Amino acid sequence: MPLERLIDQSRARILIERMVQDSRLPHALLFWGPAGSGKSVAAIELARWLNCREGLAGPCGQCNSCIQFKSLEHPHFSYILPLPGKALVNSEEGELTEAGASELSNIFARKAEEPYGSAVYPGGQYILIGQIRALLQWASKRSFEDLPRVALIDRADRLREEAGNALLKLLEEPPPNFILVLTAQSQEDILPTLRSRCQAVEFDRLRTESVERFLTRHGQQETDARRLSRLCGGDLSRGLNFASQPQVADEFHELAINIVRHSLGRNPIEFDALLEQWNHLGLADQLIVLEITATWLRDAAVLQALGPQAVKRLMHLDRLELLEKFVVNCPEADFAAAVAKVDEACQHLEGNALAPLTLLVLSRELYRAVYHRKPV
Amino acid sequence: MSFLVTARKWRPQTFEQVVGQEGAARTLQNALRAGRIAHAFIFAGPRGVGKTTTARLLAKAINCIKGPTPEPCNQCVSCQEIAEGRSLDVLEIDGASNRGVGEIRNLRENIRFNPVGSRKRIYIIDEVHMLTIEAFNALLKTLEEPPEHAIFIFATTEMNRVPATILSRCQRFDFRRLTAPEIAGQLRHIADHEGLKADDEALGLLARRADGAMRDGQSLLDQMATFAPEGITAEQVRTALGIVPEDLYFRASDLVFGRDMAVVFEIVDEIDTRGHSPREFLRGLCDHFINFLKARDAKSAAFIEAPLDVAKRYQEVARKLELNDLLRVLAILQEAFTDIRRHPNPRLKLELTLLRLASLEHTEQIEELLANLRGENPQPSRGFQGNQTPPRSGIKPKPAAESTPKPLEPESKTTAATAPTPRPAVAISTATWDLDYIRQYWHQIVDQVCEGRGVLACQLKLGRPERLEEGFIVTSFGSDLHDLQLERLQKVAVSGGFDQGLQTAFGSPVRLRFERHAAFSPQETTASTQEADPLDQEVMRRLGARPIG
Repeated sequence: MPLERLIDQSRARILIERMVQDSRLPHALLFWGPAGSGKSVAAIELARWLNCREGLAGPCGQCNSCIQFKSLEHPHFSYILPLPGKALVNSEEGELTEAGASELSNIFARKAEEPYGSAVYPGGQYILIGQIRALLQWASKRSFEDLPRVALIDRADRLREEAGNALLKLLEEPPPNFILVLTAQSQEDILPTLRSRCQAVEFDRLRTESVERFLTRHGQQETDARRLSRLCGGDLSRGLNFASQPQVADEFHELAINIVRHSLGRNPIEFDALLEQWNHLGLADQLIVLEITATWLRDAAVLQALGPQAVKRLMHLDRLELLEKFVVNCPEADFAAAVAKVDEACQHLEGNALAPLTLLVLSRELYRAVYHRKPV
Repeated sequence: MSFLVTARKWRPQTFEQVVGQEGAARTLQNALRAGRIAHAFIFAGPRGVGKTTTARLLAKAINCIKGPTPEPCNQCVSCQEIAEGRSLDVLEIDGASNRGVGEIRNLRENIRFNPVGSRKRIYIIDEVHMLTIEAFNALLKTLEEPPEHAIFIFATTEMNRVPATILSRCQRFDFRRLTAPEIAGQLRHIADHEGLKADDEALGLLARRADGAMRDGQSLLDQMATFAPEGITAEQVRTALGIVPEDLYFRASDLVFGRDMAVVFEIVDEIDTRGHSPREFLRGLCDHFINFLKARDAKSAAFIEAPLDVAKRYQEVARKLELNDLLRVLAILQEAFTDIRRHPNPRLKLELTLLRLASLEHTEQIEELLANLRGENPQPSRGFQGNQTPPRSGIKPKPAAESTPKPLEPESKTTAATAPTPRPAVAISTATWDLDYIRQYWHQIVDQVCEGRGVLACQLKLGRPERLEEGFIVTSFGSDLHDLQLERLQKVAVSGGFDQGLQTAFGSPVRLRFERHAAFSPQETTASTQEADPLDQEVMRRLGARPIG
C-alpha cells in the first residue's frame, strides 16, 4: 500500500495517491496542518514510493532504494529542517560542521525508525540561506538515475526571509524530475510568494482514538494510552514524547492544573513553589504546559455551559472530580476569557518575555477572569 | 512522470494572453512600436499576476528577429531560446539567492560585453527587493548609464523595499490584483483546452479562493483536476477545499442570536467530522456576519455574494438585528480569526470563540434605554431573541459560593422606608431606577462600579448625581475634590474604566460624566439623607465626631 506508515488523513492520502497514479504530481507541494499530524511522514513516504523500482502499487520494501530509505540516507532525498547557525561552517553557505553533521544523522536515524517522532535539531530556530543554497546546488546537478528527487523542507514557516526568497525560483521552475515538499502548520505562516507556487494539501488533526490506538500498538498500557492521547491533543509527536517519559507527562499535567489552582488561591508559599517548578522548564515545555492549562480551562467552560452532559466532551476526564469542584466553586467565572489570557501568555513567551513575569501576570489575569475583581 | 503544472504550461507567450494587466501591456507595446524602449524597468505587484511573464515577453519582443516588435513572433531562434531559458543574451537572475555585492560586481564586469547574437543584452532580476543595500548601491551607476546594448528588468513583490535611488532610475509598472471573473475566465479557457469538464460555479469558487492571483487559481485547478478527473463540480470544489455549506453558518449565527451554549459543541463537532478547518470556518463566519450587515440596507444588500434565496434569508434575519450587536460580533470574530492562525489547538479556539459569542449580552440603544428610564417605553427592545440573560452556568452553584459580589444588592434595607422599595435584582431593572434611586444608593453603586479601587471610590462618593442625560449619569463635585483629582476621574471615565462596573451594576451601558458644582457641598447629602454607612453613624454618635469631607 502506498503511504502505508501514514495514519488517518484520508483526504490528503487520496489526493496524493491520485496525483502519483494519474501522473499529475506537481513539482511543489505544501503539506499543511497541525503539529504531529503526519506531514513529514507523508512526504517521506511519498519520496520512498516515487523512488521504488517496483511500480505504482506502493513501495516494495525490498529493492535497493527502499532499503536506503530505511535510514533516510538516499541519494534522491534531501531533508531540510531548522538548524542553529553553529551547525554550519558559515551560515551563508551550506557546509555542515562535523558536530552538526553527526547530530543531523542521529536525528535522521531516529526519524527513520519512528517517522512520527519529531525531528528537531536542538536550538534550531530557522532554516538558513546556506541550507537553501546547498539545496539549489544539489538541484542543479544531474540526477543519478532517472528517478525523481525529493526535497523535504520541514517547517517551512521557519524559513528565514532571505532563505525563503532564495527558494522562489527553484520552487517555480525546478529541473525535471525534482519535487519539493514544504510543510507548515498553516498556509498563512509562509511567504505568500512561496505559497502561491505550491499545491496545498491539508492535513487534519489526528483523532484522539487514532493516537490512542497507535500508542497502544507501541506498547503502552490501554489506560495510559487513553490518558496520554487526550493530553497531547492529537499531536502524535508529543504523544510519543509523553509516552517515552510518562513521569514528565504527569508532572506537566499537574503543573498545568496547579497554575490555575494557585492563581486563584493566591497562597504565596504555594505560588512560590509553583514558580520555582516553572522556572526549571525550558521554553518549549512551558508552552506545552500552558497549552494543557488552556485545555483545562476549556473543559471548565464546557462543564459550565453544558452541565453533566458535557462529560463525554471533556479532555481531562481523569480529573473530573477536581474539575467539577472547580466549576461549582466559581459560578461567575468567565472561562473563555481565562483561556484567552493563557493564549496571550503563550504569545508573550514566544516573543521572549521573561518566563516568571509572564506566569505572574497570567496568574493575576486568571484571578480577574474567574472572580471579576482585582487580585489582592 | 514529468507533469508540467498549469501555471507553467499556460504561461502567456504573447502580450495579448496576459490577463488583467492591459495598462502595463499597452504601454510596453506602444513603447516597442515607437522604438522608445527605456533601459531599466521595474515591475511591481502581488504574487502570481504576471510580472516575470511580462518581463520575459518584453525580452522576447526586444530581441525578436523581427523586432523590436509589439508582439514577439515566438517562431524565431531568439524567441525560442528565451522561452526555453537558454538564451545567452537574456540573463534571468534570482535576486534572492544572488543578493550580495559580490554578485552585482560580477554583473557589472560582464555587462560590458556585447550581446552574442541578439540586439540587446537583457538582465531580468527577479525578487529584486532581496538585494542587500550594498548590492543596490553598487548597481546605481550601471543602472543610470548602462552600455548601449544593456537593458534591466526588475520584478518584485515588495516595491517599498527597493531604494528610491533605484526606483527613480527605472520605468515603473504596477501590476494589479486580478478580479475573480478574470481568473474564472482564464480557468475556463484552460479547462476547455485541456479537455477538463468543469461547471461555471466551480470555477467561480476556485477564482474567488485564488484571491487575486492567477497562479493560485491555476494551482487550484490542477488540484481539482486530480481530485475529480471525471469533471469538476461546485460540490466537489466545496469538499476538496473544505468550503463550509451556508446552512452551517446560519446555524452558527442562530446560536449566537439565540444564545444557545449546547449547540456550540454540536456545531464544532460537525465541523470536525466533516473535515472543515476551524480557521476556514471562522473566515466564512466573518463573511456571514458581514452579509447580515449588508442585508440591513436595501442598497448594500445587492453586494451580498450569494444566491438570491440565501440573500433573502439574510435580509429576513437582519431585520431583527441591532447594528451594534453585529459590530461587536464581528470585532470578536476578527480577533479570533487572527489569533487562531498561531493557535496550537484551533478547534479549542473555535469552541471558545463561539461560546463567547453565544454568551454576549445584547446591547441596548441608549435612546431606548433612556426612554425606558423615564418609563416611557416599557416594552422590551427588539434585538437578540430572549432578552433575558439565561443562567450562565449549567451547574447550579452551591449556596456556599455566594461570596462573589452580587451586583448592587442594597445592604441597607433598614434605611429610609419612604423610598420606593428597591428591587434587589441581579441588575437594576429599567423601570424602577431614576435619579432619586441612584442618589439614595449612590455609595453602594460606587462601591460596585469601582470594584475595589478604593481611592477612586472615595473620590466618587464625594460627588452627587445631578441628572440623567443621554445615557450619562452627570455627577457634580464641590470644592472638596481637587481639580487634579477631578481630572483623573474624568480620564478614567473617558477611557472606559468604569464601564464594566456600570454594566454590572445597571445591566446596561451607562456612563459617568463629571462637572463642577461650586455651590455644592457634599456634607449636605450625608446630613440630609441618612444613607451614611451605619458603622460611620455609630462612630459619629459615640465619639461625637463629624465628617470633614
